[in-house]
Amino acid sequence: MKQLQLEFLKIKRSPLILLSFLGISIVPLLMGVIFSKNVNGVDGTTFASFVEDVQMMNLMVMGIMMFGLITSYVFSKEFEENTLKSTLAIPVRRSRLLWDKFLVVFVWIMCLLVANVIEVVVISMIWGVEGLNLSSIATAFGMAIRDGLIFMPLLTPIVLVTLLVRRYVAGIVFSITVVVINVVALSSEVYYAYYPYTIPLVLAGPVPEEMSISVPISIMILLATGLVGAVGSVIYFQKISV
Amino acid sequence: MIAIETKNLTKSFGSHRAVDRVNLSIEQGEIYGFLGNNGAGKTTTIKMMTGLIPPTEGSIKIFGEDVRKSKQEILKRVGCIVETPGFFGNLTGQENLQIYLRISGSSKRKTIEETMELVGLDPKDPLLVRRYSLGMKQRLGIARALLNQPEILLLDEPTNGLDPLGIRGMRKLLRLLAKEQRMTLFLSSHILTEVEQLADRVGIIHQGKLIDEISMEGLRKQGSAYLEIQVDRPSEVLRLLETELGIFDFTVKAENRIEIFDAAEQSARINQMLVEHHVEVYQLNRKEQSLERHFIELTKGEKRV
Repeated sequence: MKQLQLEFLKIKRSPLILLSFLGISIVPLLMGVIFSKNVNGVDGTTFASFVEDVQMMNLMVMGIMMFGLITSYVFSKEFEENTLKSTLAIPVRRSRLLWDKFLVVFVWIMCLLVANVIEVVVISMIWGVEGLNLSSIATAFGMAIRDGLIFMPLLTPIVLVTLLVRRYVAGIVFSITVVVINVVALSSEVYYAYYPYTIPLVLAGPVPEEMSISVPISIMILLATGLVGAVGSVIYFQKISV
Repeated sequence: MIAIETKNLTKSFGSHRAVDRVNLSIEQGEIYGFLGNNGAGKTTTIKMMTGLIPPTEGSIKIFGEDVRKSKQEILKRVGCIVETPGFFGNLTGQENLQIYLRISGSSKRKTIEETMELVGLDPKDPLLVRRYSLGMKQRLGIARALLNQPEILLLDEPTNGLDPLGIRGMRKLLRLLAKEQRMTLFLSSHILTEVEQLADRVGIIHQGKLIDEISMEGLRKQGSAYLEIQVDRPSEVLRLLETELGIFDFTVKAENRIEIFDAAEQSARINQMLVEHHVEVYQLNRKEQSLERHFIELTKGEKRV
């Protein structure tokens, strides 16, 4: 816990904290704007569909962009600030250092997703979106937490890329690439289910029956991606010369 | 007791040997100056001592323990600055030190306030480190190295970026640490005067090889005196020294100054000869052999330091 607090202290006053909350709030906000411009207001949108639309955008575009950026920022900070030499010259285990940074990313992302649901709830209240009740709100929070957990294994390759390149920009380039591939993969039934970064969509929503998708294989691919990224990062970081 | 000992310490990067079979033995409480040109292998040696990079060959023992085997335990007793110290620019000096103090988890802690005051920084200064001057960062780096009250301080170019007053203050502080706390200081530098004024013993590293080790006391004793003269026509004087007195070992310095070696006993004769040849002599001083001269002789002045 103490180490985790230290990792949080390292990002204190970082403008990215505010920017990330602003960034993740864009999708619900835009949908709120659409409601306001719509002649028929919410136009049949229910709270559940509103949450699903926001979730879809988070899983496919905003999430990966924002989460990739955060991951890259947290893991590149010591390289960018030239503090790693001093940190590693203190008796601290390198794997522990990585784990603590990963926990920071996890907590940060969870906070973003929870804030995102709160925003959706507030906008729904303002526009009188149907289906807003305690149970649906609880479900929305549950979905946000689940999405965050699904995303975590997918961030470890970003960690590895960041450690290899040692620059913040690595995560941005990686995330943009992933989003572009996501768009292509979504057009294919096969790739959509087995390409790691579109798998969250398979796991988040009901799979249409006409699609012959093996969810266990998708889960295995997701976990394997996470494992490869995590093991690669730990091995590389153990041997890294600074 | 031996604080630091290296045996055949070698580090290669591809075919380039950055450090080549370096053998060091540094006593506890000693101030050891590690002198060398830029790129001579000083920083690489310190990085190996702190376990930041592994040696290609050889071993490093600190307090008798192998760094590779007992790195975590050894690092608790060592403080260091490696190259330009980096800090989190978004934090104050105190917050930065808070991070390192808590990570180190040492029980022998000085308070952050005490350490910052010791190096001349205000612990309550709300200035973020990104706005610190290079000198302030250097002081903060020393403060960080001192946080867990180390027994050995490994300092890589510690006076980089400090102004003359800051350098004097730093020198005073390092002497104090070595004397009062019996701290062993391993001080790498390419600034000869800095090492000369601080170190008890100096190791000269050149192209990765430790080419000489000499105590400053020994250097003073061994050092042959030389003459420094300032004249109006230095080129004429050089010719006269060679033809009239058969002296060939000299160096021409700025402002028409000439250093004449192995001729300190001939000062009167030289002066007389110059006067006879109507050379105006503005100054004639007998000086002791300097570390600079010793260093240049050893490295053949291949590269400026």
